Formats: sequence, C-alpha cells, structure tokens
Amino acid sequence: MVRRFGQKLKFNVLLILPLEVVINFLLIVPFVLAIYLSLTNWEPVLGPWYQAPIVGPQNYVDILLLPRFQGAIVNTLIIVGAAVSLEFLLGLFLALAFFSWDIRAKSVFTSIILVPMMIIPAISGFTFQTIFFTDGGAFNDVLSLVSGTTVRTDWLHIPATALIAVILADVWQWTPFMFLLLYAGMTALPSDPIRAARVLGASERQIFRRIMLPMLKPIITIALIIRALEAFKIFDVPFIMTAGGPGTTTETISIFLYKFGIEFSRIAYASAGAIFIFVIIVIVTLRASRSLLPKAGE
Amino acid sequence: MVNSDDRNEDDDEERLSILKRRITRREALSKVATTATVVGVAVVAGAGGVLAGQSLAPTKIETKTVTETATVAPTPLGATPAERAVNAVKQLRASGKIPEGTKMRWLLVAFAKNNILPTEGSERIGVQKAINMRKKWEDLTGIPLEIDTLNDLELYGKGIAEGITKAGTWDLMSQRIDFLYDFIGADAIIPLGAFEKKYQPELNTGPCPYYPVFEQSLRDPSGELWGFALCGDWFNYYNRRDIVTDPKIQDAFEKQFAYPLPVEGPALWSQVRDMAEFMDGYTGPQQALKDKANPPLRGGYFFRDTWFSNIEFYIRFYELGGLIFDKNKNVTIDSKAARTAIEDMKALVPFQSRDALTSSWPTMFPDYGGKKVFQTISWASLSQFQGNSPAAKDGGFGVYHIPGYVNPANGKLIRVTVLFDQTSYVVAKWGKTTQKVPELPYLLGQWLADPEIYTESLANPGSISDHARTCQAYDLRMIRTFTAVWPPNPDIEPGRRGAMEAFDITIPLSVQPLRLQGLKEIQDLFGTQMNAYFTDIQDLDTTVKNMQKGFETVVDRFGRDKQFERYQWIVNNFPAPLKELHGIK
Repeated sequence: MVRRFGQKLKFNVLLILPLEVVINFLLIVPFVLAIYLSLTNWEPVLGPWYQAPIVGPQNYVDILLLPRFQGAIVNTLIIVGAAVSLEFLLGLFLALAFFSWDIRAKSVFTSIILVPMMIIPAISGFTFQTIFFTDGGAFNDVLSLVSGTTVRTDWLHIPATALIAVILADVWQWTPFMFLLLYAGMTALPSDPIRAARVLGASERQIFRRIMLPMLKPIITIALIIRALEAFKIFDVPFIMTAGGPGTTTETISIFLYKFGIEFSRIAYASAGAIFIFVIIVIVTLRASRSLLPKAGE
Repeated sequence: MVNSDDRNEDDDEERLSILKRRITRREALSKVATTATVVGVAVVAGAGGVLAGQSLAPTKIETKTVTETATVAPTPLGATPAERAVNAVKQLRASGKIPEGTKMRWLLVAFAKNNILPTEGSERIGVQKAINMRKKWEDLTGIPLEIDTLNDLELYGKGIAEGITKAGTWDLMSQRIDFLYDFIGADAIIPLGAFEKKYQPELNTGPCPYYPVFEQSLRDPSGELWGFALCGDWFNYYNRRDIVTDPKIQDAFEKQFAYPLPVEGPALWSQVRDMAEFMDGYTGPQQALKDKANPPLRGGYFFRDTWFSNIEFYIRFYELGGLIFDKNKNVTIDSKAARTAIEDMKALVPFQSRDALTSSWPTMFPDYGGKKVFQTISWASLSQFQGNSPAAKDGGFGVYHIPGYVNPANGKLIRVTVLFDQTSYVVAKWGKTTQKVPELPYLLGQWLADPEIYTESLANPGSISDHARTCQAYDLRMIRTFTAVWPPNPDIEPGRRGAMEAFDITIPLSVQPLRLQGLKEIQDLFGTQMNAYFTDIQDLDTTVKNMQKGFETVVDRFGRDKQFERYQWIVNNFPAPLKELHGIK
C-alpha cells in the first residue's frame, strides 16, 4: 500500500512539475536578478548589466538617505492610512445599510455602487484632476454654490490639499471594493446567533458589535490587507492628477520607482528601493495576517 | 480674417514669386557656403587644423563643422538624396546583398502616423491629396515596411530596451535625438557617418537645409552623424491680437505702465509680465462668445510643469547670459542668471491660469482657443489645432518671436529660443534587417529626409507635425497646411501669412537642447525644484542650490569630462547673439 501511495505521489509530482518550473522560473529568476542588480551600479545607458561593477549595499544606503525617497514613503503611508480607513468606514456603512435595510431594487443599486471600481484608474485620475481644477473645476463650483461665495482654492497646488484630492479619488474608486467584500461577508454570516440575540432582547447595535463584527473579523482583515497592499502600490491616480507635485509632495513609492527605474534608467538604484519596500510589506502583511491563522489548540 | 477658401490665384502667384525669389537667394547662399567651405578646408589643411581649434572658443575641443557636408554633388546613384537612396537599394538588391524576403520594421512616432499612412482619398483643405509614403517607398524599392506607432513620450523606453535586450524589434526608430547619448550608451543605435559619406544625404546643404541647430543635434562632438530630422519643436510667443490692436486698450495700458503697449509682440519679458497683470480679469468686447457665457480672461498660460518649465528656464537662462559649465568644468547653475530667470517666471504665476501649474499643453490649447488666456508660449501646432476656435475666428492669434532680456553690459537686447524634443529617425542596432544590411534602414532614413519627400510627408493631410526645414516656410503646401487659418502678420514680412514669418526669425536664434547623458533625470530635477518654488513650498535659494547639487550628481555619474565636452558642442553652436555675448568666434 505504501508503495502504491509512493507511486501515486510521484505521478502527482510529475503532473505538477512543469507548471511549478515555469512559475518558479518567472517568479524566482527576476527576483534574484533584482537582488543582484540592486547590488550593482547598473544603468542601461552605461552598458550591459553583466559588466556593471558590484557596489554592495551602497544603493540601499543611498536611497534610504535620499530625502525624496523618504518623502515618497511618508506620502504613501498617509495615502494608505487615510484612504483605506475611509474606504473601510464607508464600505462598512454601505454594507450594513444594504444588509439591514429593506432596500428595493438592491441588485440595481449594488451594480451602481460597483461602477467606480470598474473604471480604469488612469481615467478616474484624469477626471479627478479636472474636478479639482482651480478655474472651472467642479469641486470649486459646488463649494461656491453651497457657500454662496466664489471659491477658488488651488487644490492641486498646495501639498496638503493635493494629497487630500488624491486620497478622495482613491476613496471614490475603491470604497465599492470594501463594500463588496463586507457585504458578501455579512450575507454569509450564520443567521442563528443573530436571531437568538434578537429573541434574547439584544439591540441592533449590540448585535452588530458583539456578534457580527467578531464573526466578520477574518473578512475585515482580508479586505484591509488587500486594499492596503493595493493602495501601497498606488500610481495611476496621483501620477495623472499631480504628477507627484507640487514639487514632489504627492510622489508615492511607485511613482518614485517608476521615475528612477524607467524614466531615468537607474534600474539598480530603483531595484534597491523596490526590494526594501518588498521586505517591509512582507513583514507587515505576515504580521497582519497572523490573526487569520488558527492558534495552537484551536 | 482670411481663410483658405478666400485664397485666389493672385495670392498664389505672389507667394510663388516670393518662393522663387527665396530659392534663388538660397542658391546664392549655397554657392557662397560651398566656396567658403573649400577655402575653409584649404586654410584648415594649411594650418594643420590649429585655426579650427582656436575658432571654437571658449574651449579647444576639436569639432567637425557642419559646413563640411555642404559639398553635395550629383553621383552616379542620382541627383537627389531620395534618388540616391532608392537607386542604392536597387543596386544592393541586384548585387544579392539583400536576401530574398527581406522586410523592414519601423517604430514610428504616433503623431507622424497620418503623415505616412493617411486615410485613403483624404485631402487637406485643398492642399494636396493624401500620399501614402509607405506605399510609395514599397513601390519604389520593393522592400516591404512594417510600421508600429507609439506615443512620443514612450519612445525613449522602447529605444533603451532595444539596447538592453538586443531584441531586434525595429530597424528604424523615431526617437528624440535629445537623448542621443543615452541611446549610444545603451548600445541601441548605429553611427551613420560611413553611409553619409557614401550616399550623401542633404542635411544642412542645398536649397532646402534643416535649420542648422537641428542638424548639429544629429551629430556628436566628433561630427559623427546619428540620425535624420523628423520634427523639431521650437517655441514662439502668442498673444490675443484682437485685444492688443484695440486703441482703447492701448491707451489704458500706456496710462498704467508709462510705455506703449507692444502691439507687435513684447520684446522684453518685463513687458510680458506687465501685460499679464494688465489683461488678467479683462472682460471687454473681444471676450464675447456666441451662445455662451464670456470666459474671464487670465493674464497668461505659462507652463510650470516639468517639461515646459525646463524650456522656459533655458530660454531665459541663456538670454541672461547663463551657462551650465564655466571654462573650468565647474557647474554654474547656481548663478544670478538662474535666479533671475526663475524669479521672473514666478512673477507671472499670480496672473496666469491657475491650472498651468499642474497641467500642460492639452489644457492650454483649448484655453487659448477658447479665449480664456491672453498670452502663452507654444509650438507651431497651437494655431493648427485651434484653427477653428473662437480666438482664431476673431483674429486672436498674434505670433511673435520669444521675448528677451537686455544685456546690462552693452544695452543690447538678446532674444533666443530653445529647440526641444527633436524627434528624429535613428537606425536601431539590433534590428533583424539592420544586422544583415545596415544600409537599408539608413537608406530609408535618407529617403525620408530628402527635401521633397520630407515636405511631401509633412504637408500630407492629417499632418500635425511642426516644421523642421526652413524651406518649408517657402513651400506653398506647407504655408497652406500650417498657416491657412492664421491672420496676417504684416510687420514682419508682407505677402506671406501667419507664424511662418515669426519662424523665419526664430529658426536662426534656436539653441540646441541640453543633450547630456541622464537628461531625463536632469529635466525632472529642474522641473520639480522649480515647481516647488512656484507653489511656495521652498524658497529661491533652496531651489537653485538643489538644482546645482542635483545636476552635479548626475553629471559626475556619467563623467564630467564627457558631459562637459557634449555641452561645449552646444556652446560652440550657439546662435549669433549668444556667441557674441560669450565672445565665441
């Protein structure tokens, strides 16, 4: 029997081997190459990569000391923190409303809510750029209408407001994603504990806080991790809305790496930055997802 | 307002006579140039080249002058560059050097697509019927062409990738020659000097030369040729002619600023600022729009994004006597010239369209055409794109040479402009056909750069390219294509229309772009630093110091000596006013 199991295992391994080879080749080779390149001073405009001298950790030291890179990290963290929090709160509110209230034509409204998510980020970036224009921008026009005075705020020229504009664009686009995950999670919750709590006289607030929220925790964690990872890579929207400006005050890590790696052909330098960020993301993600893993004894 | 439909035969006759007169003058100039070259070569040869070195002050880098190519004579292959290219291909085929089934792949810049592959049967407002240049080449040579098109902003990445991967995707590529040294460094393109000698293209020679600065940009400091010109963008100054010609406006302006409103375009940047202040918020009768609310006029739309703020910075910096390096190879960006240039650029910010700081020409074009801004700096296609806009219909296009600064040392006014983003044809080293027969993509380039073929393709229906040859300002097809909707500008040269006159003045005053290795990074550095100053994030001192420090870092990464040598090629080819300013013979 053991022999038969061994043969079956071999056969299974044989079946999966070609795919594993391809995937690992596509995954591991570029990754190893990126690590190697990050230790050289290769720039394509200086010659082939295999002739580039090895400079050790110099690129890592240089990039970590570069104020522009530090600024890009801070900007990205602000966007991730603010945008994902807002998206979560709005998504949760919408999901709860759809779950709790008897809304007619629910499927139609659900589809409408999901529309922003389906729009190409570059298009939404351009749309929000025109919305936040000083002269003739819809946002200023609406504020003027509401306040009764002419509002001409330079949203995209002031670092703080430019960052807010980028965050709002991201919130508009990705709140539906949070809504979708949370709403799906709510509809999949077992109804018995909720009904039992109602029978025992629990208020809706208590039901939400004491029963639904704990049961939704894995979904919430997954939603936050996915959105945070995605938001960490944000590129299209700020690139089109502000091009990282004014100055470099809305430059995100992705814009920084694109500029240095692709536009300036400083691939080794950008690789060092990318690997540093990769390590940070892995650590944060592993830590955040720990709560999803079954604890010892469970 | 004159448009193409109002054109009559008398007008055409008049222009034709000007055309003939010009060509005759050009022929004479050409002969003088040829004679001068022969004498020059003899002198240089006699003096052992010593004089050549001395004439290129301030440094003694040996260069090959462009006039060396000015001795084109008919060869057995043909009288024109196009004939020579086509016959050479035929000869190569006959000798068996071109394998059967050979085809070429060409990466074409997207904006030139309609010049090369126009819609069949289309016609541009009575100019000429569409000519499919690919079909024409294929019919003449029997060599099939496969064409890929790409947005010009993405060409650089593709070009460098060809060098890295040695992929051999294309044989001929449209590329911005501004990044020449990056392509050479990436081993992506081949030098064309040997073919140039053999097949004799006409660059800065004959009756239809490139404007010289473009021709210089195609070469490195040793004189080696690396490409052919396609489209070069220089910048002119535009303002609302319908407003400045209003006597009431003129009186009011003079009363406020104690000097007459410069009706024929401002000569000084300070006048631009004054006009911006004066016109900002103007709501007079010229602002009327049919069936729409009248837009409030802003004092100007001067780009403050990375790309265009670089352009305006270089123009002002050079006019103020700035140089990037001194004679001892020290970087001299942190200078009075740079500070004045940037400070004066910022002085316009309060009066200009607010969104100019974060947007670019796609916003400016409709804003100018839609009467939202009074003045701007733009390339030639502003009028072409906005030909039917309210501003154009009401005579709102005044096109003039770029303003300048007065040199305090001698009181002379200096006005120059910068040639930027010169899209050219380069031969990709790793192209499949290039590897077998490198002459073939070169010959296609030579054919495309032939004066007649070139003009034909640019004047094609759908063309949106700007001009790259001075002769095109005298070619009826080009005048009709580019100036049909523009109002007369009689104070420059009566008899021809529109911006061509301004171009005539601008062309000899163009400065080569800052062609150094790492140019992309330099552009970004300058752009982001200036933008931070314009938006009050940092002060002027920090801005200029950061520009200086960042520039030094980039320059040193690629070797200061080499970068200095490349810059000297630009300095040595400065237009006359800058040569005079810096004492360059």
